[in-house]
Amino acid sequence: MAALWRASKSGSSLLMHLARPAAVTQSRSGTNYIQVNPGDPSMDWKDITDRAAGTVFITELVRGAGVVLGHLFKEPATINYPFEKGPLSPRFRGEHALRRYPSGEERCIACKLCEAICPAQAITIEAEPREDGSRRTTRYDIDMSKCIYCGFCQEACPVDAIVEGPNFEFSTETREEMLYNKEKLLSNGDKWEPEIAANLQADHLYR
Amino acid sequence: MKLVHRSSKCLGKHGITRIFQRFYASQTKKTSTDYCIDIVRRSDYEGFLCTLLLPEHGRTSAMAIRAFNVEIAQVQDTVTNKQIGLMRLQFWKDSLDQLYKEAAPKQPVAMELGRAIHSKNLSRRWLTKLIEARERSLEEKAPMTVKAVEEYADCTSSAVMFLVLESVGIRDVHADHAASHLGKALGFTTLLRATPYHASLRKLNLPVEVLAKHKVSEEQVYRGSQEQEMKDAVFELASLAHQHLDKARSLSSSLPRPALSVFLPALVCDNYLTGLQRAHFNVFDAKLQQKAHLLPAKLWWKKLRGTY
Repeated sequence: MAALWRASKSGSSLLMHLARPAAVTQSRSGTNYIQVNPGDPSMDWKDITDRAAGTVFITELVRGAGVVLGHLFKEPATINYPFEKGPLSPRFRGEHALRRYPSGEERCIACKLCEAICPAQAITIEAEPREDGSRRTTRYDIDMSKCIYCGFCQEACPVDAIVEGPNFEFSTETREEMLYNKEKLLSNGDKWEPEIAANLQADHLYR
Repeated sequence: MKLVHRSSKCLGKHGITRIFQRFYASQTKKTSTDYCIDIVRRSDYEGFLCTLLLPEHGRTSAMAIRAFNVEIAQVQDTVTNKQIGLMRLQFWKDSLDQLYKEAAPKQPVAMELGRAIHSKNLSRRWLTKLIEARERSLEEKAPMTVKAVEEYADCTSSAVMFLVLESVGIRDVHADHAASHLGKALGFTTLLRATPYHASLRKLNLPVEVLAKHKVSEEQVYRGSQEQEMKDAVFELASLAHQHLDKARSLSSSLPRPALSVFLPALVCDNYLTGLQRAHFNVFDAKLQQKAHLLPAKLWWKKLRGTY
């Protein structure tokens, strides 16, 4: 029994001795080393003269100046931001605005659907009937620091009164300035109406 | 001279010019009527043209009905969430309840519709059906059968036809029969016409039954397939539209004379179907999406001749 075990052990070690050198030689022969650095410069008289001429006549500088001159006449890749703005999708959801009808009457009829759908609960509405019997808001506040710009208020509005306009530059210095009231929203609407109306257009009835 | 005289007689004393003046001249002071005209002109141009050729007394009411149709039809295209769409439609249902109790919300379309309801005594059934059909189509995906499409058309385009007939003051069995067929023809036409739009949104609007029969896959519709099987499916739907159109036209002799101008949308339908035939039933042909420039003149000619 013991002899058998010894024999098997010696057999396996013999195998290992055979296998290892074979593996090592194989990995050595299978690898290709590649020279990646430029190598030594040629020391022929012709090449030495060419290099000396290049240094004397500063050709690199001239070529560099050529690239600069070429770029002077190319269209710049950047835009002049505060004066120019990049393209915006008509579906862009930016600062909120309350719209008016062309007659000047405000659109909002205080149905409170936007208040109900708002996932961040950023909208607060209070309403009461006017003297002419129409229901209007007395208070329409949006907390812009709560708003997540999901656009649900715009989608839920049955009279297209509240919209998220194309304006994205409304950062403020204090938190209080981010609490928008009705006057602010209506003045936004007056300011952005042409853009908003253009974005809302649908040209054919597909239903 | 003769022609001018005839046309002015045909279009009524104040006629089209007044409506045109309204929204080209007075941009500053706009009434709710102008607002309705504006949305119909922008979103349902052909409906707008047909409404212009209606008799004077029913024109404003018909415009209100079409504006209402535009408002509720566009709900599906503006919402990303079914629940929000249902909320908007519920608003219109509530408004309709209020309109019949004379306390409308101050919204131009609702105000105009209210005026039309009270002056023309429009039946509430069709207005409700119009909203309910939109509600149903918001919930389900593609229509399964041709019958489902016909039912939808019956509740949408036919309902609009019935309401316009009422606003012109016609309550006639034959007119209703013809309107029902024309509505179905218009329903199929709208379906085919909207296919490229829906395909661009990766939505299926063609009846699954027909697609399965011709072995057209959903993906083929989305990719704007121009293969023969797709053309066959389109051909089947177009011929259904054509059958309904023919039926509606064959009933024209039994209609009262003032009802004829209500059926002018038949020409819109015919125009599209002829174009489709010319494009060899390739519903994705770009020419089909172009505005038909001769349509106003053709509609006017039909109106002069008293046919549709």
